[in-house]
Amino acid sequence: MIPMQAQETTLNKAKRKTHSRVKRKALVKSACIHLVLIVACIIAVYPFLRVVSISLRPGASLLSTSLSLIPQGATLDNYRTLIFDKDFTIWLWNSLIVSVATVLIGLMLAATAAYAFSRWKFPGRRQGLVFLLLTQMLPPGMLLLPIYIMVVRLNLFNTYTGMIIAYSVGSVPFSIWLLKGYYDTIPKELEEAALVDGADPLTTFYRIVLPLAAPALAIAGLFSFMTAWNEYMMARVMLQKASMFTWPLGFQKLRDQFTTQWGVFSAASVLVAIPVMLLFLYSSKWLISGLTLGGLKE
Amino acid sequence: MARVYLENVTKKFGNVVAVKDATLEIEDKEFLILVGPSGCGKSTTLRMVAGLEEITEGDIYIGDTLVNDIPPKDRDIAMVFQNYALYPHMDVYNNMAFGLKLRKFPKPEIDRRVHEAARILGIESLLKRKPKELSGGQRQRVALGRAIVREPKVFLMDEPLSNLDAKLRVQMRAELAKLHDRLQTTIIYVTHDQTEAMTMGDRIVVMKDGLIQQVGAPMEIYDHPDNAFVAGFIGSPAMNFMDAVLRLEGDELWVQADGFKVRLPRTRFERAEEYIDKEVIFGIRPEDILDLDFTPDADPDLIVTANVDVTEPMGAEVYVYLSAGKESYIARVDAHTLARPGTTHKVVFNTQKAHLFCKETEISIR
Repeated sequence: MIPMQAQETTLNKAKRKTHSRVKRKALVKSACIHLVLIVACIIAVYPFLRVVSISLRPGASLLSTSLSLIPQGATLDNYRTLIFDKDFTIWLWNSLIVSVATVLIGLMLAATAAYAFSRWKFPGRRQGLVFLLLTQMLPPGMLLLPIYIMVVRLNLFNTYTGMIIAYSVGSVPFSIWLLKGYYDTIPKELEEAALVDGADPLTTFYRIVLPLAAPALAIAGLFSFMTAWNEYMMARVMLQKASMFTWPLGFQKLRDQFTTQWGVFSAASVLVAIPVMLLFLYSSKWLISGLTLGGLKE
Repeated sequence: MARVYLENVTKKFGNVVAVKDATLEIEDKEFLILVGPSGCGKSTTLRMVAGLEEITEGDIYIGDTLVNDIPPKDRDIAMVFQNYALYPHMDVYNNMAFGLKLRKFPKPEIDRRVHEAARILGIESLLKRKPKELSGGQRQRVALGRAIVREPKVFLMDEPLSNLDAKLRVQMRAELAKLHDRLQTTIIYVTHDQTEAMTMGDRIVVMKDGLIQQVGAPMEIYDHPDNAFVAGFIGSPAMNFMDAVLRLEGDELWVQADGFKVRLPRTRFERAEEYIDKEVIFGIRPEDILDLDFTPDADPDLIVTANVDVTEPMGAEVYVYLSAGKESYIARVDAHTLARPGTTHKVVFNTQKAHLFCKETEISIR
């Protein structure tokens, strides 16, 4: 028979062994995860850093033998040229107006339409939803001509309004689907409680449903903004006046017939990324899960 | 404070009749309980009073106002939902103040009411918390608080305690009863729990399949159920039902079932003569089956010998599962009973408190 103390020591040893094995396994797992994440970060961030680096280079060279991110003789000349010698601020302003308006109008239309699709039963509801989905299946190029014809006939050629309508056509159906799906998860009892508390249906929508749908609204807003902000093809067809150019059109002007001012081009790329980054940072606070937690017994 | 009157109210969902021809008068300051199994139409009735469901036929009055076409916000009612329905994005204070803000109450008045309700419910320290930071019981109190601050004419409560654990439920049951005494407001309370119905309400409305089965004070319903459904639904353990035949022997009325035959008091069952030699349902509550050992001067015509199948000691009493012939039934007897599983035991049927129901209609024979 093994004495009690010896038995305990053997047990402790076994326990310690298992413990250290588990610890080692967790460490390896964590290291693997970190490695993958670091590689992913490098893949995502490196190109942007290269663009920053090119924008800081003196001259217009795209390629360099140096791998350093801050080039020798780094200068802000390209930024100065872009802002003061080119129409960059006008392009940026045009893009901002069109994108922000697309977001606001798109969200207003989508938020209300999606609520109707989510909460009420009406003739054509199903068909309407399917139709909205179908519009997303058409390649954007296919819509160019019909939208162009409509815009010309409505005298909206070369106008902000025309651009905003055209972009909304693309983003609203997606936003409706997204928001409808989210509204479906908001319990009806919350609205009923508000109705009994003294709210009318519109107040219930604005005070209860919309605040709870903030994450979905943020995503829909981001999507609409990105659609309008980065769009080139539609703008190329619908805008002829240089003073109306959005930045993707304006960028083309940075390319001459024989040369491209890569330094200025890169500086512009960095600057147009800033509003998008700010928007992502701002909206990230809304992109929280579980906003409706706690309202109802789960 | 107001009375509520439902007149021939019917609610249909497509072809399904959820509530059928309900007529009900709820007195001012009354605590009325709507009770019944799932799908009996009790919640739909409440929701119609709230204005959350349209009425297919009939009229609903709150006070003297016909409210059929009045939206919920103008009915001056407050409702507590089964799953609380607290606004997740607002803290407790704002959850409670929401209704008052919408009605444009002055801020000091809102503040006073919210703090007063929070004090009554013991949630003053939680006013800055969001619902997700509260326990089930606390959320329930906030939901109640949200209703109280409104000082409405009528409180509507849709199974407000059903999501709480058993201990908390008992505690909240007593608190709600106290709250009613304090607020002196009309309360319509929906539950499927017959214990809540018996302990809380001034009157109970028992519903089944969209039909009101019986309306009355708790003990009136318990002692004099109108039909077998009400008799079986109210009371725990439920009333025992046995198929039996009524016999008239000389001047005596007897009920004969498979396994026993006991004498009935004729004065209690005046209409029984119509059912002589016919099949009836014999009903007796578990507490009306007495242990012979504790009933020494029992009438021999009421004694039944039965097999003891199972005994369930509950502390203060024992539930004894008995069987005789085809029939099985439960007796609720003294904790010191000598009945043991696998033995036979003599019990006494207190037929003074027994019930008879028509076999076809299940209506009470009295």
